[in-house]
Amino acid sequence: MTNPDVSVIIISYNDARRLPAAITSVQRQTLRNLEIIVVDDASSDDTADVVARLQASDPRIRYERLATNSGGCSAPRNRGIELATAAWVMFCDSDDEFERHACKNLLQAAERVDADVVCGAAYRQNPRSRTGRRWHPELHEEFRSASGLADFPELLYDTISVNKIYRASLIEQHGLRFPEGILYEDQLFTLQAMALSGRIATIPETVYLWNVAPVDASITRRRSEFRNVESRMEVNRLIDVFLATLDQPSVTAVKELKFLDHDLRLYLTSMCDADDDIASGLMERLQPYVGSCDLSAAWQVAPMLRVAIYHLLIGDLAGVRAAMRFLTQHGAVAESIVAGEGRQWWGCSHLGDGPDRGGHTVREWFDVSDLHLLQVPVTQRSYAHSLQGRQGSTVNFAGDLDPMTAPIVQVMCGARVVRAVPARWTSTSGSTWHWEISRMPRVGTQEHVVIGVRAGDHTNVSPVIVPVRGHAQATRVRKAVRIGWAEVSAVLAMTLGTFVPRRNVILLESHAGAACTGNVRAIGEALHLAHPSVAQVWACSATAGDPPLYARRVTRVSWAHAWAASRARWCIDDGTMPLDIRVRGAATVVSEGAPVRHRGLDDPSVLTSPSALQQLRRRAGRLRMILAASRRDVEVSRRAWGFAGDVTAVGVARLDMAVPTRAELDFPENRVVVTYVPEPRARIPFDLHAWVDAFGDSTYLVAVGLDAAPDAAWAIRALTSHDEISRYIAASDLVISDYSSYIGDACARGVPVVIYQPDRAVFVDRLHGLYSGLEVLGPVASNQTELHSRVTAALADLGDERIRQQPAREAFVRDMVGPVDGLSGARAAAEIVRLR
Amino acid sequence: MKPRIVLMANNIDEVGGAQRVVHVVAEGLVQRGYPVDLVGVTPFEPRHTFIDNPGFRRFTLMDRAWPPPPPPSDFRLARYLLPSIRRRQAQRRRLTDEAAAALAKILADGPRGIIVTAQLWAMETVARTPHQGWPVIGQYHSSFEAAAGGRDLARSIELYQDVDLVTLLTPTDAQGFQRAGLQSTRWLPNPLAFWPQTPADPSREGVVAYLGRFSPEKGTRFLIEAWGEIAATHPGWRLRLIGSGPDEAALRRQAADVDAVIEFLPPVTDAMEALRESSIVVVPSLTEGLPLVMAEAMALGLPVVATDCSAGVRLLADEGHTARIVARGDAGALADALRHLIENGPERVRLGVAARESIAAYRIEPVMDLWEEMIADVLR
Repeated sequence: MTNPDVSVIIISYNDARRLPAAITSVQRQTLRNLEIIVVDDASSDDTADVVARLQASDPRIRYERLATNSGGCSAPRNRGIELATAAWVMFCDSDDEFERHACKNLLQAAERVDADVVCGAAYRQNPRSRTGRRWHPELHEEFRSASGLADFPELLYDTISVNKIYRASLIEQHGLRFPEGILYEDQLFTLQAMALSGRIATIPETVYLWNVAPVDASITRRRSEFRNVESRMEVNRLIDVFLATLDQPSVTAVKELKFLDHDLRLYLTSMCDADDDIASGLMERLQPYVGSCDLSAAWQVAPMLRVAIYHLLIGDLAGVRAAMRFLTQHGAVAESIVAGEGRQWWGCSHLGDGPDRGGHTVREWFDVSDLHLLQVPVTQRSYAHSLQGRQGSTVNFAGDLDPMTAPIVQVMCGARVVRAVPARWTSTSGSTWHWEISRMPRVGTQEHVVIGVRAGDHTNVSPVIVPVRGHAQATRVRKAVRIGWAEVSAVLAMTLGTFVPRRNVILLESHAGAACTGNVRAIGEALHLAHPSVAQVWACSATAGDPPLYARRVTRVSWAHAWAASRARWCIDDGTMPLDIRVRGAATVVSEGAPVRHRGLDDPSVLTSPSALQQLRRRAGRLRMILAASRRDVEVSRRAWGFAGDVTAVGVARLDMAVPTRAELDFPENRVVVTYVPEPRARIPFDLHAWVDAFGDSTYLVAVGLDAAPDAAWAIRALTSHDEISRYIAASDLVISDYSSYIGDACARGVPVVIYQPDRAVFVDRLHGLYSGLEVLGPVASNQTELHSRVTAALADLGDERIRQQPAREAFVRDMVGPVDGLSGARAAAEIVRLR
Repeated sequence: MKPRIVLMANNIDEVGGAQRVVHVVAEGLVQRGYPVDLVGVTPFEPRHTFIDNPGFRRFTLMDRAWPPPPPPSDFRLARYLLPSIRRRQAQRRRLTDEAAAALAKILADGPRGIIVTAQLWAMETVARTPHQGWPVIGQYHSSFEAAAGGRDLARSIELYQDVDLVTLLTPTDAQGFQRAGLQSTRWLPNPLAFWPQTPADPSREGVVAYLGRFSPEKGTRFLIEAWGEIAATHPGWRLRLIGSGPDEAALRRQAADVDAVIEFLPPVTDAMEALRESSIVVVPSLTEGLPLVMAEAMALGLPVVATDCSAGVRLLADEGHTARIVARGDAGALADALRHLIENGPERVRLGVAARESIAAYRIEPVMDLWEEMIADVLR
């Protein structure tokens, strides 16, 4: 063959078992015109034979064997570079594979923009299951090219050599080689190649399947090994020397940040779990290089990482571990927090007399004010609990744990308490409070343990890591189908149906079984008050929270569910009851509230999906009644369901629920509470950090469907469908929403509204459409900057009663929400029992 | 020597957009010197031949029409237990095996080349047929959003996992499928069947035309609704609906309730001739790929009112410059755009001229250049 497009260099040492997969993945490339150079690092197994067999059927494969084993990846790769004949070079390891289009995607991108180095995404996968995740996905969102590393310094995070294509002349011109004798040789080589390139680019495609071997198998995965840490520090020294000659400050700055935030963080994290002697060995080897670094980047990393770095510098292993718990265990605070002068500090013993490091005092290193840990409401705190055997401890970081109320150990399955064991306080040592339980409850594989402690008027529930036991028992007990009388009856009910007598039972379901909340729950409660003899059965998933005490729960889509459905005289849900559960009783659907976004047959995205359309028609076919909110909602429900039967306007039942006090919901005092209820969708465009920067000091945000990181827990609370969102709205000062029917709740409860529709062009114009314009209900924002100014204005007007009583809002409540008199649930209950 | 191309579609006999495209492409490839076989998986009656004396061979793999799928079920057991489902599945398996055997025979009958599957089902058949050494190009002729809204996305990702290249109708769709897991995607638009030498005349008054199937996703009911708002004040204008489909009866009922002139015409084979008589063309769809009717109307120099329903629509036209694009499923917005064009003759002409100029990129010659470039890349 003449002039291959790409030379692929595969290195191997005593890996004859996995090498064929690597070679085959290159042979199968959709780019056919390539050469494969297998460099054997003097293996003692049958690597040579394996390659020879493959060579026999494919002339593109070349084989080269080093005379003596080099002990690393560098020497064989360097030999491969010398042998390569193509204009482009790629590398592959014997235990990994190329994605099938890797060479073609990288080559075409390089040719298209005339780049010297192009990076694709690597996919870190479990070799058995072949599942995993992309490595540094943020670098590979879309095609991007830059005129040099200075214009794209984030690429420094992509330090592996195997997911890239290199122009051979670049390697030649600068004499680039992998440094021999150390691990992490990639880091120097790729950094040099990218820094010396003209144009560089990234492509969004996955190119490299990186088989992440179980710990201890691969050389580089053994982070705890001392050679590993020494190599990494050595490579960083070499990189520093190279960067000094390069003189590009932006690249150097990113490298220093990356070292602390990525490389060092990995070791600090592994020191948490490692044995003491290994951890202190690691620490000794990290200290010299870290100490010699310019530590100004430490003020750009997470505050708790900075605290851990300080402890590393002064050689306090326990301090490193305590600080790292915040970063590894959902923000657990394992040290008391000291407040004063408007600041908050990590209150460990060094705070008083610790030495200066990196030109900063210990007080500056330990300043964790940005986390506002003492402002986090009690229920939202993350306590550092530990539990070993029967002995447990809790760090009383805020100093307000209630000594009179004993902790409680709870085994949870999702949002449901499965078992609970009370504990008792035994002693205290500093800020750590010790407790003890009488026996350790068994924890199944699907379960986790939380500790409930009391502080002030509230109970905090934080997770604790305990070894999962009872695995064998758990799997033995949970057989797929147990055959008993109930199951036989259920099968009969589903097939022959009519023989099972119906009882005064009502089957309820909401949020597709994910929770027992909302309108359906409110109606259930009203029904229970009026007709206590009607038994209520809730169908929900195992992880849903608990239904009311008087109700029974069955697992959704189970035989018990089918059995309950066959006996129930009534069925009520919010439009999601599974179609295969045969409903014999009168099926009623509750509308979600004020009609805002298009529903059902009015929603273009339903009309364009044949399966959704079919499901909707089957659901509508078995309905007896729809409980709509308002007169307008009656019309909408008829159209949306294509339903000609009984549709009644009863109002929005969840509005019957009492307005809770702010203390009851653990809202912080002296701060304005803003609730953000977006319509659920895949990507909600809301930047939590920008919000915290703008409003963190003055407001407390309750957000539905967003994840709040531990460092924002003081300013943001995340809600799910487990929470009664309508009650939170009732207790808020301001509501932000987009297309959600909760806008109606806000209007009915007299809470001002800001309409935030950043994706209106897509959500309304391209996807769903709206029933009513919302502009009259409050100021409208179409991006987050606008949102912030609208919210600022709205907060200034909070005292203005006229906003709450605008005619447009009253009209919206009258036409869309329906009657708000606390009797919606009772009306609904009366309508339901009327059906027989 | 140009490689042989085996171009496959679910069926090649029905009067429809996909069928028209594969015939145009097949003939285009023949013109460029490629030996082409056009293969349909299942027969369709009545058979329609799009091109007289084609330069390619035509095949149909199954000898009987395909039975519809069983309904989905939450209980997995039901799939194994219900006799009706089992029977239908057995029948489908038998037909599928026969199709694979027939395809193997066609592949063997000539030199090796490239397989192009225009639709997913065609790919299912290819996957069951041994085709070692044949590079495969998979195509998907709808938008990514439409695929993600239904079951097509998972199915296409699975089917196209091992093909050499997947082509989508727009760059946005190519990006969507790449993110969803296909690592080799490319943008390749469908060509216009032919280029009208003389444009139509949008300055005269009279007809607003719709051409397409009558099914829910085409959004025809919103068009009739919009027409109800306009017709009374513009008595000189008629709405002409050309096509057939499952919703026809419902649409006729809806049209009868509207106090306006709405005429229904049966489907036609030459779309351009049918559109030439009109002054405005409407594409009210709720979902689309790269709507051919829109491209053809633009090639005729007619002003188009389309819904913002796919990346394809946005690729073909710029709102306000080369067509009017309005929110989908919104009769009011559609009526506003139509009213504006009906009352404004010079605006119709301006849009039409700009449209015809911009759509020239989809003429057969430049698109076949893209095909040749793609074939060379696949064989590289």
